Amino acid sequence: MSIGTPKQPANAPITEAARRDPVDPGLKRWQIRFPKALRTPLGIVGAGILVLWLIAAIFAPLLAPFDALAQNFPRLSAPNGENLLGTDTLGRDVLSRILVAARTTLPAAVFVVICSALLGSVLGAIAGYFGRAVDEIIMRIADLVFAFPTIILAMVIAAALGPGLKNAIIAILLVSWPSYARVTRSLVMTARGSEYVIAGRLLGFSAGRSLAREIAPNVISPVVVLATLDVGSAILTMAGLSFLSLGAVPPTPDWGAMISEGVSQFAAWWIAFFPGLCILTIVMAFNFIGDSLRDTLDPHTAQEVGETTS
Amino acid sequence: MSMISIRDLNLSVTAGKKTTHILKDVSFDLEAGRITGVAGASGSGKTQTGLAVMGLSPAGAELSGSIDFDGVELVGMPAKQHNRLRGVQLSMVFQDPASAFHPMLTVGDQITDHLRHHQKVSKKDALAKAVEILGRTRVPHPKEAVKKYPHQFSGGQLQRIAFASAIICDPKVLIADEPTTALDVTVQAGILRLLRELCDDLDLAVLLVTHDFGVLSSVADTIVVMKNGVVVETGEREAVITAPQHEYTRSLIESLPGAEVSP
Amino acid sequence: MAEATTAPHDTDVASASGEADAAQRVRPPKLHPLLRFILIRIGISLILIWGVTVVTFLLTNLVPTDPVAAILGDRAAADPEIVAQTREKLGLDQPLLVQYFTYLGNLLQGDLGVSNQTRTPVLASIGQVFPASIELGIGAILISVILGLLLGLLSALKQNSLVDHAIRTLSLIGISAPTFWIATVAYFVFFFRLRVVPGAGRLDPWITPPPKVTGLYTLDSLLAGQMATFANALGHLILPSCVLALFTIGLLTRFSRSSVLDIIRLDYVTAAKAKGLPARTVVFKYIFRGALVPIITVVGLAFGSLLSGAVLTETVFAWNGLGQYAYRGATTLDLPVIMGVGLVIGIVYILVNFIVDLIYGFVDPRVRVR
Repeated sequence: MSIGTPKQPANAPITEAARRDPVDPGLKRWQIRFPKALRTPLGIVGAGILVLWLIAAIFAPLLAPFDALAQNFPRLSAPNGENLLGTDTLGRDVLSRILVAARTTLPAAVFVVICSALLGSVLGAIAGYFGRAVDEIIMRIADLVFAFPTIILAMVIAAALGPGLKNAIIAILLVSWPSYARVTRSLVMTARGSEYVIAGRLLGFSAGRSLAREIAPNVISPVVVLATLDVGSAILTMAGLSFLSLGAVPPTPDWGAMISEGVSQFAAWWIAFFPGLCILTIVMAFNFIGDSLRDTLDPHTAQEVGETTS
Repeated sequence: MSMISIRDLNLSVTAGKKTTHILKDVSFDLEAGRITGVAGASGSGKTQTGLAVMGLSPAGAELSGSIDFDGVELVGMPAKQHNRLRGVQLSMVFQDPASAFHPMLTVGDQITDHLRHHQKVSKKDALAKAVEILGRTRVPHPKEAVKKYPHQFSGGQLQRIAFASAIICDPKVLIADEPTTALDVTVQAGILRLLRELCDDLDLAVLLVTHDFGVLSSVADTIVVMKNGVVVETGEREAVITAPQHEYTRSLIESLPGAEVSP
Repeated sequence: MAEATTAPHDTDVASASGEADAAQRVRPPKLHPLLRFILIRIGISLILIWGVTVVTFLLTNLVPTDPVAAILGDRAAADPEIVAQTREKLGLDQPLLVQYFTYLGNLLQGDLGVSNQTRTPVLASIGQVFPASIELGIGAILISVILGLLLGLLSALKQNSLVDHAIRTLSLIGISAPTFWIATVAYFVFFFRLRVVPGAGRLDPWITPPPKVTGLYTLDSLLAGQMATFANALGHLILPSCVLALFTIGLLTRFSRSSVLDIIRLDYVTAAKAKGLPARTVVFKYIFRGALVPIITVVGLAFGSLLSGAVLTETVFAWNGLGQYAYRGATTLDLPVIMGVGLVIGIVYILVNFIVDLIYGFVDPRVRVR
């Protein structure tokens, strides 16, 4: 039990004091906000699209009309009754390949984001909490990563490690963690100085306990928002890497690789068009949800005018 | 004759399904040459009253009632018309002088741009007048000051510059929203003295908004006490301080160090 | 970010300046804040550039694939003597630190290695193709900055209106689309089907490029007075610039919007309104100027996303720039090329951010004036 956490009733107005000290509202507040976050129209659309894609990815083997690797059909045929989205250079059904590609892309992207969020947040928290040398080292490494545009660094790392989905994931992980580190670090530094945590330390709570119980709940919301938006980025970067032949290895279906193929088979527009459309819709979904989350979790936009007038 | 007559002023804001009443039937007067102090805690509606007179109520807020300014009705006045009064006849000084000025524009520019806009004064003349007014509000080295940026001044000096900006167009009404709250205690007295002087010399109708009753007891002529958007007491300074009628007023006075209230 | 200068202390008003002046004269003269600012930025940039070389070096040398095998080809790689000789020649038998200094030495002499595929020096190739990407980048930046800032401003001023929601949704979609896909679709629709824009490449095949001054076809043809060439080059520039700008427009619109919204809340905006200034003065003189400062920093970041976008989209348009060079390097796993491009882009990015920081320092008087 944290000492003296004011137990705010679920719908308490956000008072001046609560807003000034970010630690006080604690868990309750983001818990109220979460379901509300999806109540903006964009948030609902995003959630809807995401659900559809989850279904598509999970049930891909059942939904795909044909085997994604089978080269049975006439090559480069336009969308028709049998191959709803056409066939590619090797006579494979585009629709089936798209659905199966979702099964690698989605989990890989979510996995990368969770790992980089964890890694980045932990490193950032350590940097923010202990300061001094530890802070300097971690932040300088982060600065180095930020010195490159994202895809360029990912490209360089993926090329150095060799093509393949695993290496692409490692590359994206190495490129993504610093954003979380920065956010967490500043949040931890602010919280570290709050009277709350100081009181806890005076009572003998260990560093770990302070971090976990007092600071963590307030770090979660911004990190969650960042992570949601980051899944979209991860998907785009992965697609970019595959486009550069640095991602998934053929014959595994992959959206980025399919677009690359489509560029060389220009007249067969369907080969590039549909995979790109898939990327667009999924990334849109995550961006809508992330934006909606951010709007409702940000105290400025969430506050109601009436409580702030004097 | 009151310069400003506020009668039954109501202000409410609707966010979604919830309507918050910020001001409820607020009524009091502002007279030329007198300082009317409005006291109350945060959320009492005192700042919003001042903003309503200026026509700067929050967007989407509903304002009803009457604010009579020398025969002109301010409630419901079209924005453009109200804009012509702002800065010229109605002026305002804000709580934190450091944030009331744009950090990237010179002080001289900021205290003259409304003068040049409203009264079509040339840049040279405007700056000359600015120097004169800065002298009046006792800002040191006015000629150099106009070329400087806000961050180069202390809080007290900036507030004097803010007052200069407010009076440069010879307004009739001055609204001072917590003018001393953000300043050091040692500087507060000087600012209040300046306010009194300006009020007397220029025959201004001053609305002084504050949560600090001590401030009111030193410069206000009339005192209005607000709580939760409602006026709970009005009266002359002496009367309110020595014989407060309302319980809330009593508690505000009692919270002052060394105060003694007659039963 | 700007360093905070200590605010002058509040003392008795009448003697404030006098006393402060006296105190100032006694202290040793401090370095002018702007100069200090510039020097610190230069220092940081140099350190970052050094860091970038370390990163590329480590990546080159921690590579699982054996560089020797890539250079020699299968038969020669099977002979241990030749392998040993090549390793010695390449300096690969030296300790890592020595290798790094050799690498750094080479870099400072402009040697970025040789392409495995074409056997031409990497730096020379980069120098040849770089101007094309600069031209594309400038086109894209102009479009995205103008559109992005204005749309963001509009969106913020009309917060929560239909216009705002439309702009916000469109910009969200803009940052959700993979640039290389948009490039393909746009090229297909506007060239292949509609024939509204000229085809691939920087110029039509039958037109000779203008005499090289900057390497930018548009600028060079203007300088040479070749108006037909200029028109042709400009026509070819339009579609790739717009496609490349799409992502950045979305980014800048969102950022500009939130920046302006933050400013609108500030007291000095209310104070400006309280002076009765007309709306357009309040918006452009007060709001936009304040919002411009953080936006300038974002333009630097946007440049980074443009560079990345270029790598992915130049191929689609057969735009012979750094991006296409990098693309070929990546698809053939030509490591010297990839590392060379990574290093160059990293350095350019650092320089761009340095320039952005400088602009920021000049624009904000809190940094410029004591």
